[in-house]
Amino acid sequence: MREPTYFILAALREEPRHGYAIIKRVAELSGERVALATGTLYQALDRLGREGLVEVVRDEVVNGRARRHYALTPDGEDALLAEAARMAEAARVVLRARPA
Amino acid sequence: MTTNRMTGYDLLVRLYPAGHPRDEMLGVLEESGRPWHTEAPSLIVGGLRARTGAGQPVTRRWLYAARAAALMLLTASATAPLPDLRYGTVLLSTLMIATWVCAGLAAAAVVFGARLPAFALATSALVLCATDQSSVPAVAGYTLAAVLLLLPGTPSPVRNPLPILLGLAWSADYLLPGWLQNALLAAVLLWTLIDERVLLAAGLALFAGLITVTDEVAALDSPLSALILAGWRLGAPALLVAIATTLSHHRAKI
Repeated sequence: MREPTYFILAALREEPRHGYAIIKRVAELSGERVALATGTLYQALDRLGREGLVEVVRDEVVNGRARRHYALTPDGEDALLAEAARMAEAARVVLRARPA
Repeated sequence: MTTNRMTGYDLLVRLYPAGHPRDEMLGVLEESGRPWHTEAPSLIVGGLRARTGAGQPVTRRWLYAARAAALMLLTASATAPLPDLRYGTVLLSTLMIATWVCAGLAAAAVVFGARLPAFALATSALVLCATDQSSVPAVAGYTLAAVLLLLPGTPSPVRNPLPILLGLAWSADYLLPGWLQNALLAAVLLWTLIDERVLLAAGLALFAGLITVTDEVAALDSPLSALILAGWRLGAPALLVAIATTLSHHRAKI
């Protein structure tokens, strides 16, 4: 799983969010390291939607613009947890071997 | 955010197909207010990928590449005698004209994603060509095109001019000025940044050369020539397919 995808799923795990809220939350969660461009976000949301990992849960109009809220699906939650476990295991290998 | 910048974004999101949430994206661009140079590249790449269907799963990308390769081969085979026509050395026969008509209609059917009509027409072109012209490269091209069109799958229209231009360049070869050949090569490489399927199609189409290899081997006079021939006929298509496959798998990652 790519890093931006991981943080997008992590941002949606807390609650459903709209596009700009996802960008902001991803930046916070990654310590400002991952700055998603709008095109990148929507390419990722497209792919995640096709894979059934995220879904649109609400439509609204704000300031004359359409706005959709995205949420994690149960498959998305599983994929995120599996990736987190994989990375934790990989990190453990290195951190355990570190001299005291 | 300036009106000019939003007008620019408005134009860029039109690269996305109509079903995409363009208005929602404009809302995000408006809210984030980030500089144009940080947003524009991903909007252009994302829009072109969404419009061309380059974001499809791997199996569908392969299917599209197979159809695009068939289009390339049909174009190249149908136009193979044109360089000779320029010098008035080809005698036009009814069968030859019928071959071109079948090949042209087959190419049009590939463009519109009609696989079975395309297959039937490509096979007809193959039979007519083998009967009349006895042109080994053209027969090889039609044969591989027909095989690629036999692959079952969902309709994959090929609405991209590059396979047609590559097919034409292949058949015209030495008639094309160098700058035009380089421009076409640059266009394919640039397009590969967006969509690797045309590169994959070029690799698949070049495998048609393997069908003609027995003729070429007979004309060889040294092991070095055989090595060069093997490198060109097998190595070049394999390299293109390998590069495109690597890109395809990388892009399919979520």
